[in-house]
Amino acid sequence: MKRVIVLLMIGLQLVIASVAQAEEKPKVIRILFASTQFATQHAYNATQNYIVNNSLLQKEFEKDGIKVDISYIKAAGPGINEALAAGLGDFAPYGDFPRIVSKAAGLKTLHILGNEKGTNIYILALPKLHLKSFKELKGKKIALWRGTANETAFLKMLQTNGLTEKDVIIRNMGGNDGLAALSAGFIDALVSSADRPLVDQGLAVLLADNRDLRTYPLDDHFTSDLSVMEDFARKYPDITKRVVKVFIKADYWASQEKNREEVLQTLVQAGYKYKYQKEDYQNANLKQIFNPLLDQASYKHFQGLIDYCYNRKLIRNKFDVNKWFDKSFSEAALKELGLENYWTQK
Amino acid sequence: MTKKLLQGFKVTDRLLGLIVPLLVLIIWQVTVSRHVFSELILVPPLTIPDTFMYLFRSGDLISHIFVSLNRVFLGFLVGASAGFVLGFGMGFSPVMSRTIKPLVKALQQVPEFAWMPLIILLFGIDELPKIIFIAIGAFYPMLFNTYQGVSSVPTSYHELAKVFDYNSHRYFLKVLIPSALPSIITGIRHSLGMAWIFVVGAELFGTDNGIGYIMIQGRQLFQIDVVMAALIVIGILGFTLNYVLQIIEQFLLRGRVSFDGGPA
Repeated sequence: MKRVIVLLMIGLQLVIASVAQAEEKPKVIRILFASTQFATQHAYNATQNYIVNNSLLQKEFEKDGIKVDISYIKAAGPGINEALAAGLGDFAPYGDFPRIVSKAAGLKTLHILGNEKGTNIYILALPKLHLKSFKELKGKKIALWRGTANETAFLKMLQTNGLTEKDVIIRNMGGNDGLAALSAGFIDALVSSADRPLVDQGLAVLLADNRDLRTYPLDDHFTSDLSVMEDFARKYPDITKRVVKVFIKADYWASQEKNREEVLQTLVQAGYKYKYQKEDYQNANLKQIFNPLLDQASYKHFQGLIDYCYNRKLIRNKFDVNKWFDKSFSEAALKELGLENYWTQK
Repeated sequence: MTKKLLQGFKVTDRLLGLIVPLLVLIIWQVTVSRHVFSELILVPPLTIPDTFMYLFRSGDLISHIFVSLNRVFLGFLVGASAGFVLGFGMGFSPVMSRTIKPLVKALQQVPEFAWMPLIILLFGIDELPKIIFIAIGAFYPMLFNTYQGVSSVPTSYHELAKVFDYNSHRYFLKVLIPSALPSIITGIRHSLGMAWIFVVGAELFGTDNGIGYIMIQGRQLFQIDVVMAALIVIGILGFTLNYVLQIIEQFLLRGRVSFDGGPA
């Protein structure tokens, strides 16, 4: 009799535990996107806008009764770091440098997916200076949005051209402040995105960019990847995998050559200029750019960037990329989608 | 002798002054321990000394402080000089006072930070706009204290000067300046204090050095402990500056008596 009661108790506990586990879902999934400088309610890259425009996340989770809350952060990577630290988001795809900065500072995130690799930066200069090459920026005042992925990409561009940070005068300004300063002639050059604002108005000229360095591995460019708060991922692994699946679907859409025009139009809807985006992606292998794999090339890129940032005192602590990357979600999602062999491991 | 020394230093007052900062530290630590905010946003106070050591060892903090102090003194010189000249003129000449005072009062209602966009548009983003912004902060306290001091010279002093047949030169040196000096010195102290407050605002935009820049960089690099450390440095330096000026003020005005015969 005693045995029966004990077995019944154990059985009851198992049932309660499984019911509790089955019921454990978040009420809301919070995604943070960095907004463009042109439109605050649009994300800065094509796949993220594709996800929003087609309500992919909402469709994925509506049958579970889970709300998807999307927020656009104007302050880019630094703003997203603060929002995540304040508990205002669960997932965020954004630039490599701010993600490394926050992880090194102790923000408990997991790097679970690639999003867009090999993003270019463009250097715009005042026309009246008649600068002919990047090297002529020596001694000039340059607006750079520190703390964003532009910072490390620009510092590497300096290095590639035989210059150091001390050879130029950097003014810490981002987005529209930098544009205003350049148009007023208060600075000599600006580190910008593909869209090259002010060029059409004749207020700036394109001096240099790192397009010809669009190589793989990605040492001279920046990447955009998906992070998740570690607590969320451990508590809701299935939900995390399903979010990853949505992002992989978006990358799959963008990676197909037949969708190139649609990718560009998605960026136009987000406020970018068609001709510049077309030029930016002109010689790009879309499958290589929109590649979600956490492969050896990604590991090498991030470990190299961590060492780079540590040596330049941009971060105070190093960390192991192997403990930060978590491929389990992406591997499971790729398998579910039948895309395990679509992208090439590098 | 010890009793006199302690009285001189007003030990009890100093100890009382430490109570609130200690309470703040305790509340801060308790808030962190109870995880009211993320530790990455409200960093534990016990990590701040390590952050100070890190900043000192890197050499960054001292050089940035000197840059800020340099801006403070330049801005103070410009703003306080302008404030002194205008305040003196307004205090001495009722006609000038009636002419300029309404405009000055109206401009004073504009928050100083509201001037920043215009200053940047007119003067750019290099050193000049920062000095101008700091000067605006230093201007008003000096103006109004000087005006107060000069316009408050007792009538009996004027009459006495007439009795002694003082010329303008003697009147200025023997009557006006000594009478207005306490207010002027108070104006200098407040003016320099405001200049210190304004330098941080001036350095929040378009710069790559200064104590305000350290705060911005700390935020952008998600090193909130650096932001907190910079805040504490700003507070300590501002307090020290004010304290030193108070001692100088007391020294310069030692032995003075007020009009009613009591100590000044």
